[in-house]
Amino acid sequence: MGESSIGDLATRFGFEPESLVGELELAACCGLPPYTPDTLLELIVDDDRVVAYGLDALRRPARLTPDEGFTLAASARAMLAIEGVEPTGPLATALDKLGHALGLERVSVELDVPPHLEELRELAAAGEAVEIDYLGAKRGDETTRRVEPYAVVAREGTFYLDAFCGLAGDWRRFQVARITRVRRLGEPVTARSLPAALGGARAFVGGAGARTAYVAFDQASYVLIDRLVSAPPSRLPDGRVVAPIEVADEYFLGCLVLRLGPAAEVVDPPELAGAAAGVARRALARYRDGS
Amino acid sequence: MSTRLSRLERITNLVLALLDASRPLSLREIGLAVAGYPTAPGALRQAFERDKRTLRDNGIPISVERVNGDDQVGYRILPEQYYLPDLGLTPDEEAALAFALLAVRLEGGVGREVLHKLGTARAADVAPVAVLPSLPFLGLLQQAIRDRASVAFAYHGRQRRVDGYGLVFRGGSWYFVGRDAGVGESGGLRRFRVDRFESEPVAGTPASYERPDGFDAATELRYVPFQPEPSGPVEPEATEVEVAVDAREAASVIALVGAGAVRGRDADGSVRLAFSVGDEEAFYSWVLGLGDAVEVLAPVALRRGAIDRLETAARAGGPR
Repeated sequence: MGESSIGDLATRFGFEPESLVGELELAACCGLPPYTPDTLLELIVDDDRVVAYGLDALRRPARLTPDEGFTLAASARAMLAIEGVEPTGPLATALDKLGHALGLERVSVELDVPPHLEELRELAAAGEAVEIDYLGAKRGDETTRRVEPYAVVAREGTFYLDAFCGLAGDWRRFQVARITRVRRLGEPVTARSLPAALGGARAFVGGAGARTAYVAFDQASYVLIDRLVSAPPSRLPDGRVVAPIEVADEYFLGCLVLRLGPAAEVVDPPELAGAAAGVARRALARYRDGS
Repeated sequence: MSTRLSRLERITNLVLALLDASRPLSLREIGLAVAGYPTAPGALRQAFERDKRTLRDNGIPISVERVNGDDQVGYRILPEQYYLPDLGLTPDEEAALAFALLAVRLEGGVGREVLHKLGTARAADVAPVAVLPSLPFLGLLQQAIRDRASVAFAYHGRQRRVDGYGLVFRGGSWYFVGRDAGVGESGGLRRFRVDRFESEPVAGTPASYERPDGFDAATELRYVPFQPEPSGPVEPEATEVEVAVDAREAASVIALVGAGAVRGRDADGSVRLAFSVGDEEAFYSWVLGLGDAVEVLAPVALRRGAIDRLETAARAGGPR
């Protein structure tokens, strides 16, 4: 026998209480062949309580399904990667117990934990403004900014700080690994609503400067950028393919085109056609300086 | 009763019947025994396949086994795959797992349901610390690795049969690491990006291979960043390279090639790294894609190769 309140069940399964009762009526029609009363689930709804009698098959809790087991393994492994492994800590000992039964030891999650991660997480949780030194995408592109941290979250394998940036006067997403200095200001952040664009699972959020560039390249190079294209590529008469890519700055686009090889080029818009050449000249300058 | 409710009822009955089965049930037996299925063979097959897919999509493992008779294959849900064993967790361990499940979110994940099964459903909400991409096959692949069941799938235009050794999340992608039976005479170690599988993976019979002792999939994966995607039996020759990387890309490059490759760090956060390269063109692509954040130091031939490619790209952009 099992018992629960309608409210708890409705919350767990994401139903309105009224529709939950309808689902329970359905469940009471289910069972095993030959579907005689003794082989059906027996569910009694009494005021706000549900009492279940019935099949042996449902008396034991279901094992974690593969997806649930995987979720548990990935979450726990990621947390260990972020917070470090304490061999005697409860998460590590729990994983030991679960490992063999659920195969958790065969899953590993690698998240590169940047130096200021923990401090920024604390500041975001406390709602405290901070000054950061931030390395931009280009060489020598370093800025100092007062930012109001909102959250520090790993997306697509990289930790980002979402914050309201005083320098930009707008929300920005910063790579935590590029934050070279953190200075606490001891000032509370201003209450603001996080833009919807920053709430999704994708790391790239564009922003006011985001544009769509159409990049042509050899089909074989598609695997290098498949996560960046915003629509399926189409074929060009010369055998290459062309795909739209959202970009926030020209330097990033230039790097991307260089990565795609000599057959790659920006075909539209024309003002971005020289992006790769610009990056190549910057890189050559480095080789000249270095040697 | 609406069609939707009828199907839900049928699927629930199907789960109970397959779980109760002491032997695999043929499709014909399922059609006869489980309430709610159409009688015409074609319609029965169509309805069952749809239900089977729905159950698998919802994480309920259906074992497909060979049976005698016209149908040849039978289906059941193996109790040992369905029920949760006693895990013996302490309250602290339950709390630590609950925090991990709430703080690390998988897209479309089932963290809350796991909490219910672990008995820690009343854990308070916490802010996310990491969002990991999720894919429909990861649970199946993990289970196949645990059960030592070879997995068949299409990848890079070829059908593969792989003995899985581990799943690794690196650089924003999930990788399936294992021995590909189609490589060489005794198979070759390969890694496959799970989001690039070209067909739904199908797991074979459990306990069909042994994992090498002490195998660490993450370590194996780490040393092949510039090898070509697994497509043939020929292992490329490796070249030792040394590169300098600026602070802005240092972390991501170390994540790619491993902390063991670091040969020196400067006060400004830049690093020097040495590692093996198996595919020079892939290496050039990677180096050029990092713009002015990286410089090839050695060997001279690869440094020259990088400069040549940059000069070609700079000329392609016309005069400044």
